Parts: sequence; structure tokens; C-alpha cells
Amino acid sequence: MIHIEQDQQLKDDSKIRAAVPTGDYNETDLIECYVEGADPNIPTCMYQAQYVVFGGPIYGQTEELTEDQVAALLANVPHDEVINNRKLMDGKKPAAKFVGRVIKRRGGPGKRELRKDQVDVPVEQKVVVPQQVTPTENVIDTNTATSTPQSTFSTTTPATNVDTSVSTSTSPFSTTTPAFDIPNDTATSTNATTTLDVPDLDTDTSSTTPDVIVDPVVSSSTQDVIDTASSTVPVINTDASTTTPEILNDGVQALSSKNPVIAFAKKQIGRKLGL
Amino acid sequence: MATRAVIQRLGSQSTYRYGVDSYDSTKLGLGNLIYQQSGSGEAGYAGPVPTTVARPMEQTTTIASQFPWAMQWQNNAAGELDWIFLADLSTAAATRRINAYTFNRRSAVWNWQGFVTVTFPTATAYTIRGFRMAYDLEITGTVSVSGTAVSGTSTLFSTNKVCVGNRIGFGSTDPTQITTWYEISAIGSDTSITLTTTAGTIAGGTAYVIEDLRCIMATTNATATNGGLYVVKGLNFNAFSNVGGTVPAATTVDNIRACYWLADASTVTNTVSFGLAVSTRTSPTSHMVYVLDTLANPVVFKYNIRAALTLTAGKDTANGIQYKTGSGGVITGAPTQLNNGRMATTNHGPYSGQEALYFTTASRVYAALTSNITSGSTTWLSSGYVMTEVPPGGVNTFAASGAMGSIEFAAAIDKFIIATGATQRNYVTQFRTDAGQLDRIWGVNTFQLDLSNADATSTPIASQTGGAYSIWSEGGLCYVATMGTTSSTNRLYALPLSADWEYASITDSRLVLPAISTPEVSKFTQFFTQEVQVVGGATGKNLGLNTEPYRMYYRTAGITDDSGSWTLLDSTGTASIDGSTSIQLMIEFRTIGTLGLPARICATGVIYEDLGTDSHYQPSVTQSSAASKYFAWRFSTAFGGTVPTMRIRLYNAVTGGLLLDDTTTSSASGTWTKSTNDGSSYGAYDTSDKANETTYIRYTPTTLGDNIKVRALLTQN
Repeated sequence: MIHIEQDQQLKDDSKIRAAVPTGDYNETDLIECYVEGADPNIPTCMYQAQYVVFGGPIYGQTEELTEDQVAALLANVPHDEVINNRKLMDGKKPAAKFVGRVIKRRGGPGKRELRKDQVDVPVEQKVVVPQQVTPTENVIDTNTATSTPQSTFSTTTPATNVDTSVSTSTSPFSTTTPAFDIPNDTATSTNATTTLDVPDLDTDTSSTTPDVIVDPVVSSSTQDVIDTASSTVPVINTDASTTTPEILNDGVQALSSKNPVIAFAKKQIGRKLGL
Repeated sequence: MATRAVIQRLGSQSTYRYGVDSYDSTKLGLGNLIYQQSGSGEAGYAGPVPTTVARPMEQTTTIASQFPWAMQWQNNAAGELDWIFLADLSTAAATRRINAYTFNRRSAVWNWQGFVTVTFPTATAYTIRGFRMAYDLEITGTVSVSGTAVSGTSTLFSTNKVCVGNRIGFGSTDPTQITTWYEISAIGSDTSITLTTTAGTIAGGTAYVIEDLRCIMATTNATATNGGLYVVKGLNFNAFSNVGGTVPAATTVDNIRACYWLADASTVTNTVSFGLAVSTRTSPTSHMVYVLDTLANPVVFKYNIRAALTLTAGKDTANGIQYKTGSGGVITGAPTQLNNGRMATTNHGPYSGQEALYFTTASRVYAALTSNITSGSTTWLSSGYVMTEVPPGGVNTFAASGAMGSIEFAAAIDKFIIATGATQRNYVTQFRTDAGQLDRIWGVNTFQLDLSNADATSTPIASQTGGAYSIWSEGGLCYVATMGTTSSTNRLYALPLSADWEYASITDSRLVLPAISTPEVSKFTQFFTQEVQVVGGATGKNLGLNTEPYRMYYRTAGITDDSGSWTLLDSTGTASIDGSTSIQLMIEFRTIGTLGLPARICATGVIYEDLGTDSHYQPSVTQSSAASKYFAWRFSTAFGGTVPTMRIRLYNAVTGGLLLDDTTTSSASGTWTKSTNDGSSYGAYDTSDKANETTYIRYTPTTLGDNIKVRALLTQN
């Protein structure tokens, strides 16, 4: 996560300032910005949060920034010692844990979704696919999704209709993945909500036969919504003006077995499997 | 008659651009795509622009690059400089980079300009399926400048959609004449713009030029409905640098340097793009782009990339989109999503003279008339034409690839260039609907890597090693990017495909040599060239490669004004051409071939017999007789075969007047005889070659006046 102060100058362009509320943002979130001296209420452009803070050198690297790289950059390690440094890249987790969003000056940040292509599955959460579970393959070719360069020809099959890193397979477990819709109490938004998704189980599309197929996007009609008014789940207040946005639990924390969300998920899955 | 030879070394000749500059018979004429390498030895030569390579994955910022788009930014007496832009081929991501190079046609030198990183208006992962740039000049009116303030007179900055981020130069409407560029930081009105840095004071009435550079990308997305057409406005070439420029996503403000989403609807349906085609801009507010979508039963989305946009978070849903067609019909073979589609107005085929959209499937090329691509149309495709892949020579000569991947139109030769897969051959062809063969086949995988640290004796070759071609043809030069993602597989070449001899009559891709003065010529007998036979190492590992062939022509008339017609010489170079005071040579080259390595001509020349006695004979005083009025020559040098027809001319040595002209085959005015015994006896003349050192020939005129000083000239006929 990257911390951005409202009105913060861009690292590489002192004439551009961040228009969004002060807070911690996902590396790939798009941050509304305005030109210094112009009306901050009329942002003219959006940059990625990581560019706002670290500047252009991050785009000298084809691969995403890893956690270690972001940590190094935040520690003011010179970018030329960080960018394209394989020691900080190979085998490391991408820093961006969530699907990037547009962060506006006005209005809540909206639903936050963990990235399906990056979530690692803790060993204890591995679930053997019951034989009777045969996902209904409604998959739209993922060959050219986010993890695969598109350099190959698909000449014999009309493949790759859509870039998607996520299978749309249905699964009996889809309803076991809880999510927490939490009312947003920001003063500037009356209808925005923040959703903290549970990390999905093995949605790594690089595997052709995933151990378990879990619908990574839980429909609001089927998910087990927990009323935050009565639950023990931490309420997430995204009003940056009044709180530190605790929503910004990063993925590492979320995957901790001590995390109540994970515990809940494990319990639910175990019950489904009759364990 | 003596043998004379004239040699022209091409690496040291003064040159001019044949077909562009004024014709000059005293210099080396470099036709379109013809190049001179100054130097001596094998380093001095002329021929088509040599094959050279750029290596995107070896630059200081490595960017796997594909889908080249090129333009001739400069093409005048001062220079020929192309801009080449390429799309990011690396793993799909929320940002995409655009890479930029220059290529100097005069020096065949690549230069990496740099890149910009484009931030899209959504943060999901994009894959570029179609890529183009648009470059237009805004020169309306005149301006004055005071510091960073530019005031226009009769200018139309806003109306004509100039963008913040574009660059402006003063003093000319020709961008190649501009020495200092300034970036636009704000556009106040049709008559007012602001610069990022001061341009000093410039008086009113000054001409100016603004380069409006845009990028057009058809995309698919990990979140399908985030795909569609994106346009980057406000670019300028200086924004590309080796540390990288950055383009933000747009918000609500139009016509600034930002990435705009021209959505076809609130929820995008243009989600399966497989390419795009761009029409000619018709006005500053109208420039249509056609995006191909849906693989099995294609749909076309039509957008106007110069429409005024109404934006929410960088997304326009009502102004850029013009309409979408219905499904045009089932196609045979699957199209690739590799920059498929090209708009072309050919001078041949069923749509000759009409703008049409062409795209490929694995086994077909489809053509649809642009005017038939209308809102909701379900016949736009089925009413068009289709060409089947039949390789040159037929399928028993080359198997059909079944892998046609993208199509490009080479306007310079009025032909299409079709790229296939990494393991198949590619085509240059007309569009035909009669199931006939495609015209030409080219390209091959030699497995050569062309890395910068490759053996120095290897020579770059546009091999398909590791990746199929993605192509763009501009001004006859074909830019080829191999679609791989490593330094070994991602390479960029410039190939003079349109310089091929098959099309030289329309391209002027010829090497026109200076006229050769041939004083006292009697007959031209031999032409020759010296070329670099192996480019690269010819010994040791023998990594050098042989070049494509060439062919030579000559002419002896119409040299001074370029009006004479050319006559093709065969490979022997032998000839028997009546003499003239000068002769001129011209060479055409084959460039579409297996290796496609153009020939390099170091020298050319001509051998001729002059008006002296033929070099095979020596006048003989002892065997001649003024009293008896006959003239004799010793046969001094064998011809090596049958003696050619010989000719004798007797002149009045005082007046120069011709007294007699006769030949050995038609001796109307005298008698030829021959001796093989040192003149002891003469018999009938024959065409047998010299037999010994005592062979003589003699000519006795039937009549010849008395008291004339006679000069006898023996030559080949």
C-alpha cells in the first residue's frame, strides 16, 4: 500500500498534485490529480498511486513492483537499485494486492477486490476437489490473460475472446465465501460501500486444473453478509478525514490464519466438506 | 580497334535522388529505397537500403514491442527520417508502453527515441489488439509570441482539436524546418495557447506548425467490459525518452495529454477486438476508426477519434462511437487478434479506387467496402469479397500456411503484405478473388538471433526466429517486428520490400549510374558488375550470407534527359552493341526473397572496342601493298572461338572521307583472303580462329582510285 497525502506533489512533476483524500492506496489505484494553481475540484488526469509516489522509474520495469521493491522504495533506496533488481523480484509477491480502482477526489473509493491472479493460497486452505464437483465450464479462454504474453497465434480456434484472468466457473462453494459489506460512513458519499473480500481459493489461472473452483466474485444475493452493526469484524471507515483507513489490510495480513475472515472461511469450507 | 574498359566505383560517386531531385546524368541516381554506402573496397557500395536491426529488448529500458506503425517525418533534400512507434507486447497490465524509434533512410541507422507509459482510465489489465498512431499538422493562420503566450490570427486551435501536450514550432509550416519545439500547456481559445516554456518574442504574422500526435489502441481487458478503443491525445515526439514519459488517464477534460476511453456504450460491448483500421482524416473534427470485433461472426465498431468528448472518469460513451454494425456473416478460418485489419484504397482488384477494410483469417483475406459498413448492417461483410490463400506456385510448391495473421497494404507497390506464423512463409500479393495464386512469398526462420553481442561476422537478417512478423509498410519500407518477448525473439527490422525489381517501374527503385563517356567507341562488347558476394564472414565459420539477385540494363540514347528506354542485359553481360558517344547503366534489385538481403554493388563497367584496329589484329606493312592496293593484318590474338564478322573501312586520310565500307560476310566492295603460312600464299577467307603466328588476312578493294592517302580501319562489325 502506498500512502498519499491530499495535494501531494507528484514525484516527477511538481506542477501536478494529488486530488484524492489522504490515505493508503493500492499501488495500481488511479489517483485523480490536478494542476497546481488550478481548481482541485476539477481533476484533469489520473495516475497510478505508485507513479504518484515513486515517479517514472517504476515504468522502466516490465514486471509489476513487488512488495520488496515497494518497501525498498519507501525506504528511499535509490530506484536504480530497486527497479529491475531481480533479487527483489524473482519469487516475490506483487505489491498490488487489490484490483486497481479509480480514486476520486469526491466519493468513496468503492468496493475493493482482491486480485484473483495474485492471491496466494495458504497451505492450510488447500481443499481437495470432491469428485462430484465438476465445474460448469463457462470459461472464456484465459490463455492470453494477465499472466501470458500474447505472442502466440491462435489460428485454428477462435480463442481469446476476452482477456480474463478469472474463470467464471460455478462452484458449489461459491456461497461459502463470505464477504463483508460495510456501510461507508464518509460524509461525502451516501451510497458507496466498501467490501472486504476474503482471499479466494486457488484462483491462479496458470493452473489448468485448479484444486478447487471457487467463484471469485461472490454475488451479493448469495453471499453471507454480516451486518457490521453486530459483528465483530472490524468496521472499516474510509473517511480519511477522520480515521486511518484500516481497510488497507494488505493481503499478507488477510491470509493470516488468525484473521477472523480466514477462520470463518475455513470453518465454512470445512462444514461443506463434512470435515 | 583496341579494347577499352570503363569502371565506375559506386562508393565514391556523387549522388542525387533519382525521381525526386532533378535528373543528373553525371551523378549516381539513387532511386526510391536505394542507398549508397560511401567508402572503398567492399565498404563502398550502392543498393537497396541494407537490412538493419533494432533491439527493443536490449535498450536501457527493455520493452517487448510489436505492431509497428511508421511515418516518413522527413522526406526532402536534407534528409529522410522515419518515425516508428510500437505497442507493448509484455504481459497484460493496467499500463501499456509505446516505444518509439527513428530510422534514417539515408544512413540506414536506427535510433531509439524512447517510450511513454500510458495510464488507462481503468486499472485493469489491458492487451493491445490493434495499434496505430495519427499524426496531423495544424498550420491555420499565423501567430505572435510573447514569452509563453501565443496569440493567433485566424488560427483555430480549439476548433481544430489541438491538444495540450502537443508541440509547436515557429517560423515555418514545415516541421522539418523547426529547430526549437515548445510544448503546449494550455489552450485558451481558437487564438490563444500557452507554452510550458518561454519562446521569447516573435512578431505577428509568423507561420507556425503544431504536430498533433495521437495513439489509437483497440484493446481487450481482463475485465471484458473495460476493453474497447482508447485514444491517447496530446503526444509529441519529445515526450518519448529513454527514461520514459508518462501519459495519465483522462478524467473529465478533453484535448489534453491523457488516455481517453471511447466506449461504445455505458457497458462496453466492443470487448473482443481483433484489430482496427483507420480511414483518412477528412477534417480536424472527423477521423474515423473501425474496430473489428467478435472472432466467429465479426462486428465493426466505428469511432470518430476527433469528436468532442463528454467524459466521466476518462470515458466517453456517446460522442466517439458512431455506430456498430450487426454481425457481418460467418467467416472461414479464425482471425488473429494481432493488429488485424487495414484500410486501403487499391489500384487493383474488385475495390480498385475505393476505400475498403481488409482483414485476414487463418486461410482467407476478407474485404468490405467502407461505405457498406453502416449502422446495424448484417451484410457489410457478406456483400464483400474474399481471397483464399493459395501460395505462389500452388500448394504443391508451398503448402498453404493456414496461419495468415495480419495484413498490411504497401501503397508504394499497390500490394498487400500478409504475415503468417513464426514457422510459415509470408506473402506480398494483389487481392484477387479468382482462387489464383498469391504473387510472392518471402521471409523465413533461419534461427539466427541477431543479438548485439552476436558474432561480428554475422549479418542481420529478418528471420522469424522466435516470433511471427508484425508489419507496417511506409514509403516502400517495410518495418517488421518479430513478436517475441525476449532479446532473442523480439527484433525490429527495416526491409526495402517495395524496392523489388518486380515493381521498379512504378517505384523508381533503381540505381541509375552516371553516363559513361565512350570516345572513339566502335562497339560495346561486355558489361560487368562487382558486388559483395557474402555479407559478413566469408571464411572461418562462414556466417556471412549471400544477397538477393539484381539485374542490369543499358541505354545509349536519351541519356542526357532521361528519355531513353532501357534494355535488359542477360547474366553473361555480353553484347554487341553499336557504339555511341556514351552509354548508361541501370540496376534493379530483388528484395522479396527467402533471405531478403539486398545486393550491394561495388562497381560496374563496360568493355568496348574503339575505332582503332581491332585488338586481335596488327596492321602489316610487309603484307600490304600501296601499289597493288591491298591491305593486310597479322592475326595476333585469338578470339577463343569463331572469328566474328569483321569490318573494314577505308578513309581518305587527308579529308577523313569514307571511301569504302565492307564486311567479311557481305563483301560487296572487295575480296577477303587469308594466309596461314606467313603470307606465302593466300586462300579463301574463313572464320577459323588464329592457328599460328603466321596467320594473316588481307583485303583487296575491287576498285580504289589512284594517288589517295588511305587509312584502313579493321574492326569487328
